[in-house]
Amino acid sequence: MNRLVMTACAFALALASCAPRPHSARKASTLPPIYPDYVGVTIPDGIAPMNFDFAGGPCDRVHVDVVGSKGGFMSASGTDIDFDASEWHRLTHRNAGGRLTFTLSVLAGGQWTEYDSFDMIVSADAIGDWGLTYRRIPPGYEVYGKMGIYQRCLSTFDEYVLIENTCATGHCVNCHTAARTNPDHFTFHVRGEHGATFVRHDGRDEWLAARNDTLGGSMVYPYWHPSGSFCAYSTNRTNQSFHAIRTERIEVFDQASDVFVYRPATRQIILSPLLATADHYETYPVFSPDGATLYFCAAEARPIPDGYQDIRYNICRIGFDAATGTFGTAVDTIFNARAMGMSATHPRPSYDGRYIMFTMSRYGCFPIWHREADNWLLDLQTGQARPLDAANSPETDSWHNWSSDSRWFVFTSRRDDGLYTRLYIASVDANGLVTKPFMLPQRHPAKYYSELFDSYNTPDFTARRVDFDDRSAGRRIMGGERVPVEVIHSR
Amino acid sequence: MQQAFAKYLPALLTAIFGVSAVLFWVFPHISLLLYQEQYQLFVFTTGYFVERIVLPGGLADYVAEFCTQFNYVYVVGAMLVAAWLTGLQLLVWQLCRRHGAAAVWYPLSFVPALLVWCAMSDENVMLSFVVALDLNLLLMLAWRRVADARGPWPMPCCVAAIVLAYWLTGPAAMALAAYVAVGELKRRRPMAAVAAVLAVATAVLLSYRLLHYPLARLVVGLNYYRYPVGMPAFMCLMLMLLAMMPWLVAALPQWRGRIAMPLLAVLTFAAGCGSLSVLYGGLRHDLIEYDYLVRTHNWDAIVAKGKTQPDPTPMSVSCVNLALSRKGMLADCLFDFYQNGAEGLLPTFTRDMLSPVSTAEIFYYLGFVNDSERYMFEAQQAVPNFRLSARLTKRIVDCEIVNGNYGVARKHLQQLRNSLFYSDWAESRLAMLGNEQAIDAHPEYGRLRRIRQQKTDFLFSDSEMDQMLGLLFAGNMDNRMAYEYLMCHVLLRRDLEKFGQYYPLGQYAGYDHIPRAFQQVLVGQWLREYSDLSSMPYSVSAANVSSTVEFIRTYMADRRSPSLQRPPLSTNAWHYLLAESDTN
Repeated sequence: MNRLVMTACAFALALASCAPRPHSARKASTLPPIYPDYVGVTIPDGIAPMNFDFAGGPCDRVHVDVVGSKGGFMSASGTDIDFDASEWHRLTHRNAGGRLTFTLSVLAGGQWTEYDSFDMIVSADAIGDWGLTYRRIPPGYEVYGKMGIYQRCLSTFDEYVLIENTCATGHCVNCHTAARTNPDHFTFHVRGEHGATFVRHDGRDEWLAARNDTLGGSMVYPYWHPSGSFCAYSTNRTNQSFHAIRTERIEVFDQASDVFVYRPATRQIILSPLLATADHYETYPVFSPDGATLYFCAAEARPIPDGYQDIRYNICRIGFDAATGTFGTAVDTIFNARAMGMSATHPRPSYDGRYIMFTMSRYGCFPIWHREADNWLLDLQTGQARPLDAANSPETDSWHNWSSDSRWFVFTSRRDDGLYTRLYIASVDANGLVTKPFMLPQRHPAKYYSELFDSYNTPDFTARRVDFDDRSAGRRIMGGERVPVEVIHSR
Repeated sequence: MQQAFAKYLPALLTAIFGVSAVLFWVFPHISLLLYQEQYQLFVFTTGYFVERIVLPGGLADYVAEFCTQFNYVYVVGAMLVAAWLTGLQLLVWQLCRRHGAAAVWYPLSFVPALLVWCAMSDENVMLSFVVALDLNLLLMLAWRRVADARGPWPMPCCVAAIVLAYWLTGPAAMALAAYVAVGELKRRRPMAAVAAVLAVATAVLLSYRLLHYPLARLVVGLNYYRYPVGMPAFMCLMLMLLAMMPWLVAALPQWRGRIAMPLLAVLTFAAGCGSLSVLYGGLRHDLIEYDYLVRTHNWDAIVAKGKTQPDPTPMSVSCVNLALSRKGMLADCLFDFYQNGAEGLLPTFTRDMLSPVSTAEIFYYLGFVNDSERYMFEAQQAVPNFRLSARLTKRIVDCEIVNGNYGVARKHLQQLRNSLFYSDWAESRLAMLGNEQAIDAHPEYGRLRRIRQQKTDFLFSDSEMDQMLGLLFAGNMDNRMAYEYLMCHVLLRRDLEKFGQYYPLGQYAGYDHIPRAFQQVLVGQWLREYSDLSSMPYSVSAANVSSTVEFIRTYMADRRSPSLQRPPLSTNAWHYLLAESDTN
């Protein structure tokens, strides 16, 4: 037996010694071109291995040495960098609050080249959440092929299906939203012949009718009250049209939209005349972390198509009393983007109550198709707003959500190729300092992302893995049985 | 001689069958071959293979899609389809022979292959189905060989093979299971028969647990039929026929006589030919042919087809009008062909995978690059089995290059580079990315960059098509196609007021004569206000004057005159503008 072990060890050593390691390396006084661009990013302890590819041209082999500022060392070699997961987790855990220094060497044409070292900062703030939920869908317009809502563990590369439209043929699923990352309360919308709004509340799963005649539309853009007892939605009459010039692609716009709150326990939709005005579009409702305020976006209505570039949204608020389920009597504007000649959409309050992150674009309510769209941060203590320069890019940056500890945020960006949105994660420290974001890690990122013809939509953190029976859901969707809801008016 | 004939007749029949199949696909039905090819993009990557093999029927899909890519070189594609059909026949006969079928019944072995051939007249029946049938027939033959073997291993191996066959070939394995079960019952081994049936049931249920598909789809197959509506009854019957046929043919009595086999062959082939001639053709196949002709830029063939088209649809009319436009004949010959309103120029978007493709081509040639890309993308998304399309991807890349979105173009090109027949094209375009000079100098991309909307942005609205076309033409007056589509659009909407407004723009379009259809309209309009044509300021031909005067005279005398329904009066612009409005 011992002889067998010795032989195996000797064989392994022989194999290891056969793997070419950098020697006589030429120094390149430049940072290595790598994909994804992980140079100088800040990562959480516990994140999946930050594997990457050399992006500086064809090469035979790459080798990286990683040294932790608080100790520890690891290396990886191959045609791309694929770290051993457990070794990686030990190293990042040991260096939380420190940094990892990467030295990359590349073998091409029989010659090794060693690039300047680069760092990844390991934040002292771990992401407390299990992973992410998001939708993946080809970036289309009206017709949808295969798509679904998925969940991804952040410490591994594992992705799980929440629901795919293969379970409900011909349908589109969207806007999966949990209550402060808690999957005990979540909702999503199904479009198609058997459309529905799914609501999970207190262990009860319900399928509501997709359209409500009193509302004049369906329930979209949800956000849960922190108590989980209410969920705000908007109802939107959305249309789309194509631009003529080459630099713009498509414009998605609302020609009517209102905001309301749904109370799952009583199956009541609560309307307020202040959130359903005829001369304004109200949309993207979100509750403040204390639940006493409902933020939303509002714009003056303009004729379409002539006035589409003049539709600009401000961020507004109205009081909300969760005890009685009633709204306040006045709407305030808390961020006047219109005065800046801009449009503010997708507000997302941090759960610690300090900030609202939102997306700024030149006009309109759908910044996803606006190249100039950037994410901004409104400091609710100072009232000051600023763009997230460290996280933004020249391409579209939008759709963001906070981690449960409000130290990390995930957002979508088209910076990779200009069209296909990818997920990026960045941190905000206690002083509001935003770090360079990193692309969601994959085992073989270049291969994975180049072969992926889906965009990521509506990402959010999830505290733990969502338990959802997609086959049963598919049957319910196709079955068509829906729970009726009552519409009431707030005082 | 007669003995030799009898000896070689089976081989001769098979050869006739195979060659007929090749000729069938190469000549009258090449468009169906290309149709299958254009709704897939086979690439030589591990990811593509894994994507197929993780689903039941994945190996059959992979093999079928590998073969279908050769439809691009249609003779090879036709030979491969014919090979699968001929293989089906030969395997059926081998199986029948194993059961002791008399040689005289050889022509009956063509029946399943002919039935599948007929089934393929439905363009949504995938080659996967045929491949799966062939593979399962091979397994039936293999089982027949080992069925009599002694020892404990044949049955467990058979159960495992059925489960594996389901995973690799899909529900065609049910035919295998049924065949094995019948065989085992005949051997008085009911437990083995039950095991065979349970094996396939277990495979289906296992798949249901592992995958995110409804049970019904796993029972009928994920990709035998392009639409997820379930397997047509015809295909289910095929599975039953294959399972039972060897037993049935073997049970037929010997039929002696020199003419027996030739007679049977003639009857079988005659029935097959009759069925094929009935099933192939029709409106759907006509549209597929139009799409193929647009793809291959065979404008002459489209125009010729348009002249004989018995049942025009918006798509076919729009293809004819596109062909006329590409040949520079649209404004001259618009009313020589059936017209169905402005829909015949730019059909309204429909959520299917065929009609948006030719409309996208019209947008592309016009210079509505964004809309062309949108229609191509929507058509791709509408492919019911979620396959990427090589043809549509190519056009999307064209649009992205014209728009200067090189990152997106590169992503698609890297995918195309992994294909067999599009890799050269992809390489050539990859080399072009970012090279503005090369793109501007490219005849197609350069032209599109010049004629497309440059600066003035607007939101496209198909309800205001004349304004869209007018803005496009105003952006670049070299774009004569935009002007002709604008003028034809208002004519087809019978909007003579706008015709009068837009007509003067034609002076910038570089005509050497006023197009014939426009001349006829101008003459008619002039005669509405003036009795004397001599002072008419337009340069119109005497033939157009006389034909229009003749039309108006006849029309005024008797609106129901039969001569109005015959050329030349039926092809006068005023026939559409007046006569058809009377009937509407």
